[in-house]
Amino acid sequence: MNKYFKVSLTLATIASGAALLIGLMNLATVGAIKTNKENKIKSGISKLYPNVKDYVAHDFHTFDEEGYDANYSLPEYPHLKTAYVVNIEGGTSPGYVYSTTGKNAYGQVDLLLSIKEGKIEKMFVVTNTESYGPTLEENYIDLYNYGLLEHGLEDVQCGATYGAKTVKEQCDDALAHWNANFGKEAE
Amino acid sequence: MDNIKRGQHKASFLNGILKENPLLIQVLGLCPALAVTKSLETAFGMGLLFTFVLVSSNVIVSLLRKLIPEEIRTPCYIVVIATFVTIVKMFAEAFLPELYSSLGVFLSLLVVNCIVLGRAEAFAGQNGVFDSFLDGVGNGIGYTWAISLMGIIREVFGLGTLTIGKVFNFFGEPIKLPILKFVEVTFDAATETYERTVHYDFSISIFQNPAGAFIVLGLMLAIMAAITNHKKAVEKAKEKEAKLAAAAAKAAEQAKLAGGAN
Repeated sequence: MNKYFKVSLTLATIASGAALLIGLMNLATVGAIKTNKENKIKSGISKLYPNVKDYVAHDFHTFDEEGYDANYSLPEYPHLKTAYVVNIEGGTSPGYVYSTTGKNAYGQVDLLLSIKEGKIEKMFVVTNTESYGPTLEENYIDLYNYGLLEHGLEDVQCGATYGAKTVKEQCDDALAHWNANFGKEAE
Repeated sequence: MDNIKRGQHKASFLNGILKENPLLIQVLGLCPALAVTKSLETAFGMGLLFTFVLVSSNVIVSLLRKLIPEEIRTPCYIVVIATFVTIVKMFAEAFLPELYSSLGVFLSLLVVNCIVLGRAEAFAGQNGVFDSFLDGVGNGIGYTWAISLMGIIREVFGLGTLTIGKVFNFFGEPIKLPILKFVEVTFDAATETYERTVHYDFSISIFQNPAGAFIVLGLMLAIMAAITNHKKAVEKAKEKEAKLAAAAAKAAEQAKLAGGAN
């Protein structure tokens, strides 16, 4: 009995100590983690639109719960996370940015995509854990942003076929949603 | 007595750095070494976080070694290691977000890293706190330099450049050193288009791929094995020489004694 009591007490003490340490660390970092995520989005949007004044976020995951416009909550766009309607300083029409996510066997790619006149204008990489990460960015996303990549040939040109496919799927979802929801407004 | 203790401390610290390097001699911790060495900064960051986990878990395991019952030793060690890995994960996500996203799942996998668990079992569970601390620091440094070297080789040969300040982004824009590849992108204001000029490009992209990681690791292991074998051969030769010299001296002495008797 004494032996079992000692074992239980040791496990309970170590687990409590571990929980306390993790809890304290969580308290110390939770604010910084939230700020980091917001800053990453902010810096991404300001890279896509250097003259950004402010923006309104429409989060796809919270639309149903908060009763937003049902048009935004569309399960047929699995790669979309948030849509941002961006007010641009000195601009007559707003800018549109989609926060998207995609996964494959090699990792995860999260992007911010700006759309202009029904086309993906620029891409900003938020997260890229793909094992072909640098290849994907250097030979696809950077080239696309500079207008140096021929559209439709991404997967054969960049050397990261599956990564390119993931990015393309995200772009397709963003474009389809934009055409269905913002396209008419923009016209 | 003090000298013996000092020697033990020194051995605890130095063994992990070179003589018993966890990656290059013991061939442990291969999974993160292959996965996170695409760039110098990622590899170095992983090394730092790994060192923190190893030192902290070694110290705590050593402190608790007499209190933990034998039958729950391993679960307790895993709880201690998992706690420090979780702490390190939270820290990296909060203060080194670029590093956190580059390391991905491999940071969480430190929980089951055989070096951390192995040092807890084999060393910290049987030695004092200070020695365990030194063992953790030594093994951490050993692992960090080995994966950082892999990172440099893979980044320079695979991408052709060496980037500093992207992951540890404390001083503004990162610096990209064009070692084997120099690509310039210029903006033509007249036509409003970008132009990409490749000045030189000697990069070999396979070094960025998993196959490249195996090649680099294989070469490093081969070099390390060659150095170790050479050292052993030299030591053996010296020993043999000393034995021969001792035998010759003994024979000479015997001959002398025999001459004296005659």
